[in-house]
Amino acid sequence: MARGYLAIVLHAHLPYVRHPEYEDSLEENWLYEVMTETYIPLLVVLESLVEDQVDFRLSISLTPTLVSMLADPFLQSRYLQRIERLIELAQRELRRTESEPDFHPLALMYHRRFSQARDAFLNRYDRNLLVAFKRLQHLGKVEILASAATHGYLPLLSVDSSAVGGQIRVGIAHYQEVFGHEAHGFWLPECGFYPGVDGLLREHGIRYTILETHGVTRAEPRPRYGVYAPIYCPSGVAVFGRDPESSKQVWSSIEGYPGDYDYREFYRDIGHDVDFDYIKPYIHRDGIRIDTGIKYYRITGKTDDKEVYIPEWAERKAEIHAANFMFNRGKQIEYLRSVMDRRPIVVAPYDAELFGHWWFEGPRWLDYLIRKIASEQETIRLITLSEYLAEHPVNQVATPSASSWGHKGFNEVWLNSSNEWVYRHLYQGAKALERLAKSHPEARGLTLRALNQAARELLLAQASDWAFMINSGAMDGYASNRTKRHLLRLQKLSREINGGVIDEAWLSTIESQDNIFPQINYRWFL
Amino acid sequence: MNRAEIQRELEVRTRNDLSKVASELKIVGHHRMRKHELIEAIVLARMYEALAHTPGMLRRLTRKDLVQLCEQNGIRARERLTKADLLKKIASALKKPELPRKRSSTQEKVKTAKFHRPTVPQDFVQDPDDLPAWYDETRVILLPVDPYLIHVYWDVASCDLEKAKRCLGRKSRQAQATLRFYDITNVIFDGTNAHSSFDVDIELQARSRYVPLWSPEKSYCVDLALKAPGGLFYVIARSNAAETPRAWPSPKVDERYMLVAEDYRRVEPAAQSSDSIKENSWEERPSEQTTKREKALPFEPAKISAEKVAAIYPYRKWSLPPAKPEVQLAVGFPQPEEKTYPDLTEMSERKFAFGVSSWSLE
Repeated sequence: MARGYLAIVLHAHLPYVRHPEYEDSLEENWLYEVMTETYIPLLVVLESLVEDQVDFRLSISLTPTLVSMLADPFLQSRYLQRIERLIELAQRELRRTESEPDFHPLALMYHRRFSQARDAFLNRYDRNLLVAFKRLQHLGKVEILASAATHGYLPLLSVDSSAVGGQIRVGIAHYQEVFGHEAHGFWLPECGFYPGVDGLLREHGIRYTILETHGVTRAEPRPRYGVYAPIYCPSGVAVFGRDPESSKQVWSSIEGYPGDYDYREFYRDIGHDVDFDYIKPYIHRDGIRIDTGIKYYRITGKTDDKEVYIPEWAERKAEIHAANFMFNRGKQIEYLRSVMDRRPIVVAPYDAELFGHWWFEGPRWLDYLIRKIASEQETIRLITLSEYLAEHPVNQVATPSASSWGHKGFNEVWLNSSNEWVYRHLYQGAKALERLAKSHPEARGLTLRALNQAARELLLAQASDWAFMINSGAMDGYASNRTKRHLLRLQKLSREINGGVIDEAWLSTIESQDNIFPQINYRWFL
Repeated sequence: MNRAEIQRELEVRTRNDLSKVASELKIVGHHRMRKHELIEAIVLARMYEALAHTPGMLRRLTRKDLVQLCEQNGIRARERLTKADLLKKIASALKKPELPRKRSSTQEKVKTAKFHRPTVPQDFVQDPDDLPAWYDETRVILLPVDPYLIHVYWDVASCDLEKAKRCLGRKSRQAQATLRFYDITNVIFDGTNAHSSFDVDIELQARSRYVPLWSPEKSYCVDLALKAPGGLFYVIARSNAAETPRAWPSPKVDERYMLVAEDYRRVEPAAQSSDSIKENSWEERPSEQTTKREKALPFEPAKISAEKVAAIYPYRKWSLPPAKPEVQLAVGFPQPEEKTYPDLTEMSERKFAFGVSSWSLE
């Protein structure tokens, strides 16, 4: 009998980026890269676990923007082109490295990985990775959490309750439409919580959500079990707190696994390293060098002289790190069980894109971890959060504290001198839509289309990713342009709807560009 | 915003917590301080931070406090200086505090890596129009940044500004735009019942401002107003109410447990038809709930017999939580339970270092 539980939660998210208006879009590559490096390798791991009849549980949140992109035929066909070009590049790499015994096996490895990814994408999943996620959920191995429509950072949108209501409502309706049943769990974007958001989640039938550690430890009254048992908000939504120890083991710069010297180095990519004429056909058509995903070096140490990556060493490290993680969780759970009158739960949420994209060996680590937990010990059992609640339906009542999992734990990442300007406009946009919805309760035809499109534009502008990118300085130009583009479109739509003259040709164009949420209903923004 | 209040708040914390706070505030020598010294130092450091934005408030401090402030902040102040001299010294030493710094962390690096791209010119065609810098509508919005910092932004419609100036008449030329912060923690604000208030003078054209705060876990509301000589105070707009987050675990121990309606029906399907269920299931009769607490709890554990819960939790050694925490709190110290549990909340909080994500990779 297990002494306690471990719930691994992967949060998979990308902002909605789709540019049919350009022949080649650098930003669309974000999706293609993580499909090849994270989503497909993760699915391969999970499916092999099912095949080998390893019992496991995993929670994954797939945000509506990511789900919409994965299901989009235009992006699917572009991904296929992209992966086929990568295979071609890998073939050229095979020839180029023929006489280099260090690099040749690695070129072979990439060629094999890309070919497998293409094969899985095309044949096993029929171009739609969601099929595989749904199948895993159906088997009861994976629980998929819903999330806000476009990853809006709710604490800073909450000045206008219709904005938060719209994000939640659209996100949950989209989940139901895609997965065919009600969502139980809801991933709050960036774990951003403020007292009151739980009530809105409850209205839509949500049973639980996950917060950063201090959201729970600073709840009032003081939680008896810390983060090792959920608490109920007064509204009835259960809240699980992130375990600080397990997140530290992965994230810490001192003891964190992904920084191990044997692991693959993220920043050395042949897209930047090799001869320009050679790489030209595989980078952006304007000659902008990009990451190809072919990386030959290991982290080596705190040095710029990187040494060649040795897959066997990295594989061994992944296994050692999985064993270490399991050992530590076992000790932790043993202790917690001895001081608690119920079985403790350790909740370990991570960005899904950490696995494979940044931490190349992450999926292997996860595979080892799950297999070891299933076969080598009896202290820990993997569990989904729904299952835990079904087993432990009586929990302490407390109001969590406002918090997020961003740097310093509150709103600073999304609200500082670099990105504060967006909130004035987001507020104005939300108010504009609310007013439009009030003044047009029964819109039909063209007005209805324009109103629904206005709602889409507002949601796309609200994505927390834009403020995040502006703050981090990477891609801030793109991020502020996206914020402005959607808000300008919303403002123009608003003027046209109020004026009663709608430019249908223009409306059709932006409908085809910003085509997320076909079933959206502007009345949800009242 | 009074000193005794902040002090009381700090007194319930352990020395270790205070030390942590002190190190965040970069108080020199906090390792060697006793608890009461730490409290003194933290109170002053917080005041100092806030003062940087509202120098007018310095005048409210005693001379002794001012001397200590000088010492703490390395301002050379001799004992015989008058209060006025001290004020001048401090005012000249006050610099604009730094705005939140950007610092990337491991977790953020991974997230940024999702959007990884070399530094290149943008290929994304910028829309010809740009968003307006402001809107011709009057509003003040408060957004909390963290327990000790709040962001305010405002727009004033030209007609409202005109109206304000007309009302103030000739005095409008000397009028100072100001943000009046009301501490409305746990009150339903009617404009008169705030616990306290303070003013932050602003430049109307700045349109936004960060305001450091003295203590966490408060609700604020702001009036954007014009202040003119002769005590005239013309309010242009009132903001939303905003709550700042808690900065440490709550000292309030009050264990109550609950079962949500869906689970109640699942756990005890047999009871579903009985009337008692309807009483317990608050979701079906929300209108009859009187207080928030009652609404929160489908039923109180005390009302259920211990056997009933024991049936759900066969392995739980069910001892109801200390029966009368109110009485014990009145005495001052919670009495030890039969079995003393370690404080898991404290443990988690200690191990937690703001998402570890705050430790940079290099």
